[in-house]
Amino acid sequence: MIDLRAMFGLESTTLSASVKEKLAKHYKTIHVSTDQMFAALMLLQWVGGVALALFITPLTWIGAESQLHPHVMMAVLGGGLLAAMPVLMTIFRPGTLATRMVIACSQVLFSSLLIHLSGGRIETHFHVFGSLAFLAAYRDPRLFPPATLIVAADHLVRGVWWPQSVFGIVTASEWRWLEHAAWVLFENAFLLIIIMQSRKIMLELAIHTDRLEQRESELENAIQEADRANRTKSKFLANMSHEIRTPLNGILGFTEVLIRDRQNIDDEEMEEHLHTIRRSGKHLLTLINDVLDLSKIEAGQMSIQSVLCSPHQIISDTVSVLRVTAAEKGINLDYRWDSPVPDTIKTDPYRLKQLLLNIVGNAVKFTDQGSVLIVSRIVETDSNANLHMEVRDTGIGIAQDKLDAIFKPFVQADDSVTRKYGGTGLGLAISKKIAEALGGNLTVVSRLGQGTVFSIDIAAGEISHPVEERELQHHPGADIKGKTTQSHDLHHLSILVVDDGDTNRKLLRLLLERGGAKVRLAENGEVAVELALQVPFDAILMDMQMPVMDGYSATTRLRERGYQGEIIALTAHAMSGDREKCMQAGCSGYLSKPVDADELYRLLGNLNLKPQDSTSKSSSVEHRESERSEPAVIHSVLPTNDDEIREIVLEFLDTLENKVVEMQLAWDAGDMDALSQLAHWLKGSAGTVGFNCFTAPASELEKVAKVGDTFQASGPLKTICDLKRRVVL
Amino acid sequence: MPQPFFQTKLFWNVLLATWGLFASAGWFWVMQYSLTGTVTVGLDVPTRWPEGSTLEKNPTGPTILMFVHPRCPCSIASLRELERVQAAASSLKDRQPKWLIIAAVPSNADSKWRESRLLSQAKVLPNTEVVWDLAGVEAQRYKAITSGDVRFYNEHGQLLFSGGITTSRGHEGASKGGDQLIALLSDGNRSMVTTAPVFGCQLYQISDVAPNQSLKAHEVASKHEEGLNP
Repeated sequence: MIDLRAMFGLESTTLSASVKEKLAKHYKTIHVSTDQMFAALMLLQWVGGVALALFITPLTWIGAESQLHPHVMMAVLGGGLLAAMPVLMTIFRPGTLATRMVIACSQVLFSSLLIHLSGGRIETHFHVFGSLAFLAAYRDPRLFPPATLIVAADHLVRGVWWPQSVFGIVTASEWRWLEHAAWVLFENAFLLIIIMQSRKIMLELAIHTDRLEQRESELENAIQEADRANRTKSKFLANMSHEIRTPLNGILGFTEVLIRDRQNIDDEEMEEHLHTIRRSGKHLLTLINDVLDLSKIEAGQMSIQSVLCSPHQIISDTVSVLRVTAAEKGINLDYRWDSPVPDTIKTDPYRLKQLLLNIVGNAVKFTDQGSVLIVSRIVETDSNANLHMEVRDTGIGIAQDKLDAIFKPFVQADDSVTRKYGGTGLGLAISKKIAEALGGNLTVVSRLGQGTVFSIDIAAGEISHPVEERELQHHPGADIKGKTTQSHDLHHLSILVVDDGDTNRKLLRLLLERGGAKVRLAENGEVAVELALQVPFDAILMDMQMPVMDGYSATTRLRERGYQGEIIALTAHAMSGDREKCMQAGCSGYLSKPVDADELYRLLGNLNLKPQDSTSKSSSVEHRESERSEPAVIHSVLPTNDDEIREIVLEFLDTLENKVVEMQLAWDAGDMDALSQLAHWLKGSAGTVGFNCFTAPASELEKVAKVGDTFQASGPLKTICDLKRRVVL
Repeated sequence: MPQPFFQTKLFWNVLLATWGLFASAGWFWVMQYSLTGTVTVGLDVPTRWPEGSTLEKNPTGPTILMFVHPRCPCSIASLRELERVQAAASSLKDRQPKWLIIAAVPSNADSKWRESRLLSQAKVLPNTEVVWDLAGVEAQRYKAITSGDVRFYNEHGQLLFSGGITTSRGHEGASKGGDQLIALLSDGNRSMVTTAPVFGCQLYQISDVAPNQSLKAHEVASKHEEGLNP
């Protein structure tokens, strides 16, 4: 259907608000400026009319007597009256329809007046046509009917009132009157066409301008975005430059020192320098990997697999990797499931682990006290299933206005963050992209100074056979595969870990202690030999590349001195022939670095070790033995399939995290009163929600804390910590 | 804060209505003034060429007299219309009329009267004689009181037309009186006197009229009410 309104340039309802606004603004400008032109014209016509009257008919005569001609009075009074209202309305009500209407009527009345004042000169009649044409400047067709009617009424009323004046001969004058009207209508028709064309052009202009403005705005935004990106990249480059320079300086500086002063450097110093170089190199590698990752992601080259994998394994691996760092910082890192644990889901395990490592690593990095907890659950709908993971920390938090920015590449919440915590500012950007690539999203809520919760959602694809929670081995060593841990118990073993790397030593100690072993540490072969000859160990985990005395020499020396125990070589050289070299030196086992926890447990378990010294078993080991008799996972005895009870138990588990951290802090600070109160709370609350296992240790803790016995408190506190890791919904 | 009254819609509506009323009244006043002329019927205009007239009648054809006030601005339109009538009469060959413009001037008239714009235009009209009428004696004789008043006498001295030849006051263009004159020129044998309103200044003051002259003061006064006065 033809849109007549649009055809004639009238506002269509389909127009956007901004186009309508532009059109209205344009019309308003035209109306106001035309009002002003007409107001000026009115005044000019008034003055002109008076001048005309004074020139043509200044006086009227009665014989020799003269007086002012009435035309002059008409020009002054009539012209003034006609001009006054349009001028007033132009001043006080510019741009309104009423003002235009008054001006239109006034203008044709002025024509009438001027025609009379000029003695009806035919030339003055052109004023009518000129006025109508000038009114077209308003582009408002509504003005023509009243103006035309006044012209017609002027003739009509004269014909009725003063019939003798209407062109003398009645019949002829009627035709001439009609002819007059016809000519006016003829002009009106042309003006109307011009007005409609003009309105249509204005409409097109408004649409065009609107589009241009939109594009300009988009362009402006794009430029700003590009500028911002450019600034950010420059900042990032400066940051990267600094970040790269720092480890590079370390590498080059210490390499230089080693080359020049090799003879003057003692072994310990050299070891330290080499460690620094290695650490710096690793840091550089991380940086470069991050940049490459992001480049790949941004270039759309990130390949995503979709394979069946165990989310539990991925989470526990992540926790395993980061637990050492967390332990070094004195914070607790753990995880739990709030839903039945799926055996497998279909996703990209490598990317999911990368994502988790980033997020959990960040959480650990920005948490100086308290804990980091990963809470996972499967959310199933009719059509699909998602793996939802929350990484909750009690760290420094993020300001609300920075929450969006942290996901942008090269941006960190604050420059001071970069200075204090390091990093490239790429981790979260990469993580978000990965989460999206895995069919989900990464979001964050945070409160400055109180902590942050990152929520990871990824598509879980096909979920296979949810594992019953009772089967899940979720105990302090849950980051090690359950089956392995169960079948290879290390509780009776005494193990010496020899490694020059502090981190490696700590990691191995942690893994072994979780298995129940008693662990001693040595930082090089020399110390190891000395120690092993004094204290009997069931096994020695020997790093083969060490300063002072390497693993080969140490093993050879130990064998020479009659050491009969197991020596398991640890080497980063995963080359064929390396194993043989180790065996030749006297090693009885072989593990390649990085050490796989499963492999470690499996190997130690397969050695059929017997305790070297049963007296060396501490009471804590016995305590652990007693714990082993408990189920690995502790459930609430309440019916948690009831939603409300489930909610209450979940709430308790959340609170428990913080309370246990508070207990540890109180114990660290020697605040026995606080510890007593916390123990009291636990004693009451845990039983209420169906975790009776806490009652006895909490009771004991309360008792010893009340008497202020810090030493005695450590036992039940440790039990509580262990139990806490085992409780699930 | 309440809106000032002069900014309210009511104020502007009232103002607009008042303005419309005054504009209509003004228009009516202009029309009334412009379209009301002097009607010569009842002025006792001589139906036969007056015997005492100093003006000379055309013995062979019609004589057309136009009485004018030399300084009347509205009578310029009457001259224009007379020019139109003359143009129409130019086709007549044997019965060419005699055209007389009688300028009524005061007895003490100076050059401003004798060299007025109106008379300058009158003098250039073809075959037209401008006659000075001191103190409006002839005008009074022919009972003409308004500038632009025309008389048409045929060769027998019989009055066939008396009145104005403009459509309104000072308004140029075809008029009823002009058309009647043209009709008479082509057919001078009519016996009925036709007439049309006259629009112009008063040719003389009533006080100038001599007691023995036939125009009665009260008659002039009564005609003034019909629009003689400006």
